[in-house]
Amino acid sequence: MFVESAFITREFREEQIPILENVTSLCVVNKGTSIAQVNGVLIYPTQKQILVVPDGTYSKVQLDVIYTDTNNSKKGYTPKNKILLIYKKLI
Amino acid sequence: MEQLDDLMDKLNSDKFCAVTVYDRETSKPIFRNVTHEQIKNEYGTAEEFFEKVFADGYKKLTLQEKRKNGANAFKIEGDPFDVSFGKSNEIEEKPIAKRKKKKKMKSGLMGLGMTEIFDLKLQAYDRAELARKLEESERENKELKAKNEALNEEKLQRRYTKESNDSLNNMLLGVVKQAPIILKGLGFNVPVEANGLGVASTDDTENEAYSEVKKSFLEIIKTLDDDTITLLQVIYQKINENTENNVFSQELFQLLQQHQMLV
Repeated sequence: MFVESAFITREFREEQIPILENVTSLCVVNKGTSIAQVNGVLIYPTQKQILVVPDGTYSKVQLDVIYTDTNNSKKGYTPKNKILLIYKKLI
Repeated sequence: MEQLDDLMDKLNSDKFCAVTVYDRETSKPIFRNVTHEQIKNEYGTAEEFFEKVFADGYKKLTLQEKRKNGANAFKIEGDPFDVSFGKSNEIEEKPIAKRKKKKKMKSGLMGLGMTEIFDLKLQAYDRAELARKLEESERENKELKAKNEALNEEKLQRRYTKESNDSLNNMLLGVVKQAPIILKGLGFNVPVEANGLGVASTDDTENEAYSEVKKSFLEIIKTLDDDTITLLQVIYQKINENTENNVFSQELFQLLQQHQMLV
């Protein structure tokens, strides 16, 4: 059976991320300035982490993100909470 | 090890395959272009050939695979590789083996790996964002340039006005500085070393803030009648007038010079 799939790139600034369905692979990139903890995995600014490896299966993914400020005491500094999700899903 | 095994297999089966064996310690060839036929006739198998080499005392070798190309010609086939014979015929071929493995990894993969795809997707996303940022910056740059130009123009205009004002003020100051001499010319007793003229209110003669010159001027004023004071006032106002070309000041200046009242 041929199943179509697509790559999706989406940016999130909130801690609440909608449930992703039929995900075959998922990569999280921290595009902000604070440390993001995604489902218990620490991702530092500019770093990326593959959370779902493609193994021929697909799954429903719920991501919980907690942002931790890096305590940068620079004047005028405001932490940016931003993560980028790149995932492949069946359509 | 793999390379040596491959080579031995080839030497056993491929009639065009040949090998040149170099001693790594002396960098000299021990066997040059030993062919499949020679090995078969003289040693039986390639394994036995290498056993013989080892038995002769050569332990560190570099092997170059060759291929028979015509009656007595050989061409080089592949890269040379090092082998070392130890007690258990252990073969050291680490650096070359590593290179080979890498090559195999690269050529072995079909298409891109997931990490590479994610990287590409990320780059594509960044590109769009950077393009937007660039556009924004260019627009901002243009606006700032225009603003800067306008400010420069304004600055030049101000400088020009300031310069013309300065020259006028200097001229008037020059005239005012000559006022004591003018007054002297009019018959008043004013010290010559005076270098300024102040307008004082009549009631503040005792004020310590007034200089000696001002005080003496006030004393003079006390002795004058109102008409003379008015005349002096008119003259002072005329001298102090902020017109572009103060003809009165200039003419008065000339007149004072003419009567040698200016030092």
